[in-house]
Amino acid sequence: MSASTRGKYEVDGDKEAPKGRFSFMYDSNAGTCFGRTPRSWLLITIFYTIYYACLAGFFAGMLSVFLFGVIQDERPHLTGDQSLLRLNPGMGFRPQPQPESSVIKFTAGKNATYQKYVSNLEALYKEYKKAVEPINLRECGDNATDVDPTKVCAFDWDKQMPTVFGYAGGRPCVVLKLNRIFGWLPDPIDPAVPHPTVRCVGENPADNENLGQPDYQPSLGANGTSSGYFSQEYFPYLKQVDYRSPLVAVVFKNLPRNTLVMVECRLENLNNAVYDKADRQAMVRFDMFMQE
Amino acid sequence: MPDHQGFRAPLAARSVILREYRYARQRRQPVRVNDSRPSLTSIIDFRNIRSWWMRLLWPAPRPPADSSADVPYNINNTDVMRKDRELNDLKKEIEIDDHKVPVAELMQRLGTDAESGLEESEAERRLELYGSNELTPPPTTPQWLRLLRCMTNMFANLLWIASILCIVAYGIDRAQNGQYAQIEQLILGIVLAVVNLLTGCFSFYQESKSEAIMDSFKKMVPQHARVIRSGVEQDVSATDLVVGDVIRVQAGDRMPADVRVLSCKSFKVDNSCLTGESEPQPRSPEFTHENPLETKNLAFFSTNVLEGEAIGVVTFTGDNTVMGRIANLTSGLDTGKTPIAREIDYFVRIITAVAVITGLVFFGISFAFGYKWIQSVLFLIGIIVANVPEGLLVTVTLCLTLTAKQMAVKNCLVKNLEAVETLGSTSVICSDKTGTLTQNRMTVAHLWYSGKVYNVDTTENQSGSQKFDVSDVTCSALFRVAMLCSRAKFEANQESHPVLRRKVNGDASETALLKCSELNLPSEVKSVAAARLKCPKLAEIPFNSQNKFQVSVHRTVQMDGEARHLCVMKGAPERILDRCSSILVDGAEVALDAKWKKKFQDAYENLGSLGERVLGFCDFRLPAKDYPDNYKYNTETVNFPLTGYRFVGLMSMIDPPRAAVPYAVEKCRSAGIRVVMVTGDHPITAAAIARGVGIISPNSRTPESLAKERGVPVESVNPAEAEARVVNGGQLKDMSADELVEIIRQHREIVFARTSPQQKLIIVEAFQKLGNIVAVTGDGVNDSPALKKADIGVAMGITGSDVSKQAADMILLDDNFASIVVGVEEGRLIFDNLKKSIAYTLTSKVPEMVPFIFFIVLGLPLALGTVHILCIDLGTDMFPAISFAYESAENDIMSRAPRNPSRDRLVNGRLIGMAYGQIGMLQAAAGWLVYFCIMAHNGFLPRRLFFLREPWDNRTEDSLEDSFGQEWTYNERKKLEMSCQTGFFIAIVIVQWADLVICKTRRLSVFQQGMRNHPMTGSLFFETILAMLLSYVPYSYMVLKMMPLKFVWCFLPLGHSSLIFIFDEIRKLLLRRLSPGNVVERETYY
Repeated sequence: MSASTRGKYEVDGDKEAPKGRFSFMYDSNAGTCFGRTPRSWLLITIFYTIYYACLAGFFAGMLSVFLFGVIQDERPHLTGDQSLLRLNPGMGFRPQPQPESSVIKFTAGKNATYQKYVSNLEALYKEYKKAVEPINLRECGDNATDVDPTKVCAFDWDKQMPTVFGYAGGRPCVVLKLNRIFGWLPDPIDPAVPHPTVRCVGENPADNENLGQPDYQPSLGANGTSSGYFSQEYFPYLKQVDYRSPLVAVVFKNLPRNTLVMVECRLENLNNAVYDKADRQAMVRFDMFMQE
Repeated sequence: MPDHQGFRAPLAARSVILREYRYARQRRQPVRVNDSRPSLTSIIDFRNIRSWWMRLLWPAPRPPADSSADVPYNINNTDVMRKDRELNDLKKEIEIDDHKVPVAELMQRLGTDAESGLEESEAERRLELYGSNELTPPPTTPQWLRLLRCMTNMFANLLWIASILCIVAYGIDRAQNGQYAQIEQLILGIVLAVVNLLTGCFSFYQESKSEAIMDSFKKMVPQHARVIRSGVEQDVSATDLVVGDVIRVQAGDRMPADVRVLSCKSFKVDNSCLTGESEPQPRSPEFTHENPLETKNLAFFSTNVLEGEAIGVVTFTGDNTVMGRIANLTSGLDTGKTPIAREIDYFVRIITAVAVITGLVFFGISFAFGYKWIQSVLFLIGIIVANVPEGLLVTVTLCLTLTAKQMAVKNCLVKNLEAVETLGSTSVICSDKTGTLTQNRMTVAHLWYSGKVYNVDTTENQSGSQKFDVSDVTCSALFRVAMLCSRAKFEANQESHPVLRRKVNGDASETALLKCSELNLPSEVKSVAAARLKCPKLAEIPFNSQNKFQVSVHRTVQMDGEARHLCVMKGAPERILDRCSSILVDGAEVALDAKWKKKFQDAYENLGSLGERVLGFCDFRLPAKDYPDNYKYNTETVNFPLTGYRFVGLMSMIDPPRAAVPYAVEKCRSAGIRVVMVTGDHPITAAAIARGVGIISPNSRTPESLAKERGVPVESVNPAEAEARVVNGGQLKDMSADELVEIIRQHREIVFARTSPQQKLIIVEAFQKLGNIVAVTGDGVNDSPALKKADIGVAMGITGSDVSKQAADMILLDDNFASIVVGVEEGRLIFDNLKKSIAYTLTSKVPEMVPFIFFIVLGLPLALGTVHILCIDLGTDMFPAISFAYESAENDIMSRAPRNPSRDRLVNGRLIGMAYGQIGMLQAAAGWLVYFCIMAHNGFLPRRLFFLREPWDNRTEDSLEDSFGQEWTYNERKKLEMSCQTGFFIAIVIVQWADLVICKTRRLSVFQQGMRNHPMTGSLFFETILAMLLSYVPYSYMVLKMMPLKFVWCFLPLGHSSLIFIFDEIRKLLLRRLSPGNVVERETYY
């Protein structure tokens, strides 16, 4: 039996000197800190730096091939049915000063309670009043001749919607907005009214009773059956420069005091916007709560 | 008080106290000295009682290395310490003097009477006081508790916490947000709980090996006993026996208790269950040996009575019997964890620590970032779930199960799954001799006649068969004596079996003679039975221990038809020689002069030194005129000559080694495993077999052979100079634990002979103390404590007793030591393969974890959900990980030393570095590539995504703008997010393909190893199909949060997959090509 095999049996020879509990952190005998000497730490750091740098390079390369090589600036890579954003717009509302809350709660006449809502709306108003390059605009109206889709109709807030929001007088105004979807064109059911229309109702009969008939601006139809509308001429959205989404202002004239009213505004008169409450498609909901 | 009584009193008192103490312990009562025996109490020296008390309580001076030595002796001990002490008490050699004291004193001590036995009432009182004569089963853990334990390992606990947090978070969410509460949290909580329950049930099922050690001991206990009480002999249930009962046993019975023999008639017992040696042991009333196991006047509980009958007094019952102590020792031994369990524990601890630390760090960070606590809790859950490899424990168990099945095919039946690996890390095998290394069959190995030694073929299949020249007169005379002078005969209907396998009625030596004769019959004789028929037996004096010979007279018919009588004699060679006056040499009878006596002496010593049992044979032709055909022989008065015989020859017998054993021992050696023999047999026989099988290699020397070489007495040789050593039980008894350890370190080849069951245990512990992983093989009840204590106990499937099989972790179905080598090989392979499997499983932890970290730190919408992590860990990764069990070895795993448990860990820093630091990061990059592509293709360019988390996850935000001005409702965003998560999931599956291939080998290139592991190849397809199913089955988004993907997105990670493969192939190439111990090996060879 050779000496080498003999060595195998001396298991106890492998026993190291008794170590302290924290010797794995710093071992003065071996000069190691967490199992490595400083030199070893340096080398391993250099290795990983290079390794991760190469990995990042590879990742960037792949990303530029599959992403920036494919995507154009002017339009989303996937649109329409290809996109996960379906051709079924959702809606938004203002004022929504706190993103996580859909309640509008205020006391008529008490400035402090509605100031945030008003300034939220004013911010939006300011956005709409920003100057636009005339070159991006086209002629609008029923008898317009220039219908170049790369240009936009200017949405004139001052003409179409109130500029005072009525919170002081207990007649609050809420602004509704149709979500922009690249290339979406409304397909109206009623050819006589070629616009997407919107109407707000209570979520349940009691709310409906409390809500009464709100006013819409701009609006269509006679009193009692009137509804707001987003004019056809603002569509489609094609990432035009200076594009402004059309808006509809809803004014709640006779809200009850101290009662939470759950409001649901639905898009109507459209073949290509299917109402789906669970998915929040073709509708928006919020709560009005006017205190004494 | 007379002087001699004063001297004896402490001894007697000790024995009584010992017995009282043991019973009291059994009944958990304080020791009390029996007040019904005033004659005894009056002679007890109370100071001595106290000292005995102390020594019983703290028996052995314990070695400092023992952990429990740290605990100072303390009167207020806990139960644990008491149990420890009891166990140590059991480990001690039995120290009783019941066999030494005169019968009268024993009777007085036991308060009984040799003639009339105990009074009926006294027997009842003692039964009431000390309990019945049966083995108390150890307290067993209830099933539900064991199930609970299976469900509460470290990983499971983490997941339980996660599950409860999920449900609590949902509850709070529900209370705050009503119907908008995230139902996913509830589902996740339930899924985690179900996963835990299932894996817990699975490991419980795997673990529920029968704990029936005590049951198998109980089977050895007889039902009834004949007892003499109040002078009347009666049949009682064996459990009703009490100390002091006088009992009667006869052939066929089992000893119902430990008994001192009072009187007997040709009483023989089979002590094999205590000693492992199956020779019948004669018993008589005389005290013959200090050692209670060797003395003739004691018979032990559960041993078989083979012959004769006896009357004896019960000295110990139930748990206090020698067998009861073995049973309690066996069932009480805490075997500790198997090496693989320790490895897995170590690994689980590391991963748990990582999970908890990262979880808490990011919990803290998320607080600092201003998240609500409920959000932070969800991060915590995500990070825990991502960190814990949920399927790994099941994978490991399944891998072990598959290996166990493969081993069962190769005759290694594994009882305890974890033992599959233990054999692979074994560094010492303590093998029993009889039946494991040897054939357990006395076989004639050498003949000596006409002054020459002849070898006899002892192989199991008679492969080297060469018949003796029976035409040689001397040889045939020798066989004739062997044939006639033997009572052994074949059982009926055995003719179809090979001679060596036939069953025989008779003792071991005579069986050997019978078989040897049957194999070497002269051509004119058909069988031994036929030869005996031709020479009917006229008279016989059986063997007895005084004469040490057996003689019989036969009627033989000569060629001329004249009937003459022949005396044949066999026995201890020196006794036989004394009775001879001539010797048969080459067919001629010559005078037995000094020259022949010297030759005989040399041959006798020579054969004896081979460890063989030598018998001498002689015969004597009676003159026809003095002994006519009708002569009446009388064996009482012996009316025929017993001296002046003609010496014929010697036959020597041994239980020969199995054919495959030397090769297996050699293979163990080359695998760095030390093979040690531990046997109850005689040192010389043990040493001879050890040399025969290579446990002591041909050129290594024992102190004895050194002494012989130098011509000096053994005492003057320094044992340290010898490579090999034979230690016998007597020496072992006087040795301290440190001395034993010293011997184990000094000598590489050791044989322990004449060991008791307790000593086997001590030997195993000594090896374990040196850090060895010890395997023990054994077949007898006496081996069971050592089998249990060993890291892996290996019992024999054919010859093994039930008790040994119960105590063992593994059973060799063919009783062949060589099968152990197969087990070692499989064990080492599975250890390597588990490493690979774990490397594979851990790698995907990084891409699972990074999404949560980026979610918290960079505000990127979540790239991988908790559910997806579970889909990977319990779905797609599972089968590939299991398929590693089928991977074949990369190199010759039997040519390297066993792993060092303190250094060669299952999971080491290099493995973690590779899995987490290198491959895992590459995988995460692949996942992010897919994520960013899907997002960008739908409108969210990468720069838009950073810190978008808050509006993104805002339920009331229904018009979130993307990079192209499009506005997304909450649900639309969530569907996009789900698609991204599905993409990330698919990416992980695809990079895991590459990971599977690279983890197949640790050193070789996959082109060298090949893809012959078909289950693994299959698992690649399975994994892919499963991933497709999960993402493409309709409605899977409702439960699994997965969306069908565009096909093109599935191909994006292929670049990273190939990179992983190329990177690792280059790494392995460097590993192989650079000089051994190169930096690649040091840093990455896990």
